Amino acid sequence: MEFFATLRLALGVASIAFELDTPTTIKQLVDMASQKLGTDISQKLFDGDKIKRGTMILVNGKNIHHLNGLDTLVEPGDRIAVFPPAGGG
Amino acid sequence: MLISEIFERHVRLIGHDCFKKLANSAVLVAGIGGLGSTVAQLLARTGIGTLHLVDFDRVEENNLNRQILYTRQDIGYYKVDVAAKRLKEIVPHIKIVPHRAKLSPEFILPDVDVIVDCLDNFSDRFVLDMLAEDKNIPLVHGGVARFHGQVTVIKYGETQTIRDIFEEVEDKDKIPVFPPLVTLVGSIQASETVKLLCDLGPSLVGKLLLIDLLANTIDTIDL
Repeated sequence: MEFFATLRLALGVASIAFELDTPTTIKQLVDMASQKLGTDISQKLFDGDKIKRGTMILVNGKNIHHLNGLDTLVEPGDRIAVFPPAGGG
Repeated sequence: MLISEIFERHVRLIGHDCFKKLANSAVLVAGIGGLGSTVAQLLARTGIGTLHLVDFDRVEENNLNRQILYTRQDIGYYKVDVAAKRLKEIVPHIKIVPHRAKLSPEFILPDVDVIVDCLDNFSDRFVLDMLAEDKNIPLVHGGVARFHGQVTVIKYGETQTIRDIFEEVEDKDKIPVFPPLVTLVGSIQASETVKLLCDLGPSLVGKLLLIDLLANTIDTIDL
């Protein structure tokens, strides 16, 4: 799981690697990341059971809105990118 | 081909064939605000033959921190008109086609080689994305917020669309933005446009470049 732009600065980490034995959802992965970092990052990324406005999550370059949202299952080797989209011009 | 002295310092770098392509190319810049000011100016200075400028706004005082085509004397005038005049002052022989219009599904895209997305919200970007996809015109996307921004190049039928990538992203009002970031992201968009037209070097087709000036990071994600 890779964090980009301001999220990387806020979390103080560029990426976290996980060893997965069982199918794991994005939501579970974020919980695991929170445990590793010792801080609840779900508050930064989620609003209840939805992705927070101002956060994007891509699995292998695909927006999880096109997959199964926070219930998207990740597999060994998958790359999860988390970043804030920039809408201004 | 007679080459204006304006371009002498970079024609040697990009080559005459590339320069000729640029001179014969038409590019549409959607939004002549922060990103668009930089993109339009750099494309003009690089030698693009025809620029279509699309914007419905007038210059306001609070634009002047980042919209580098405008000065205090331009406040109250339509951006496309001011931009057209200024770009002609820099490169007299360039053809500028101003479109004083807001993007809508009814907007008729002119026949151009590349579209550069310099819009300031995702709602309008999704409209531009549909229009560009209908005509199969490659699109160079850029966006900025606070200290961070992104750039990607869309080739329809080959890459994801803007709607695919930014599905369900919501717009925020009056996004604060760091002026140096705007010029930097616009410069990358202008560079990608030239590279696309001349088929130069590895491009951001199918890749998302993320930049953060506060953290001093530049990353690329495969899409």
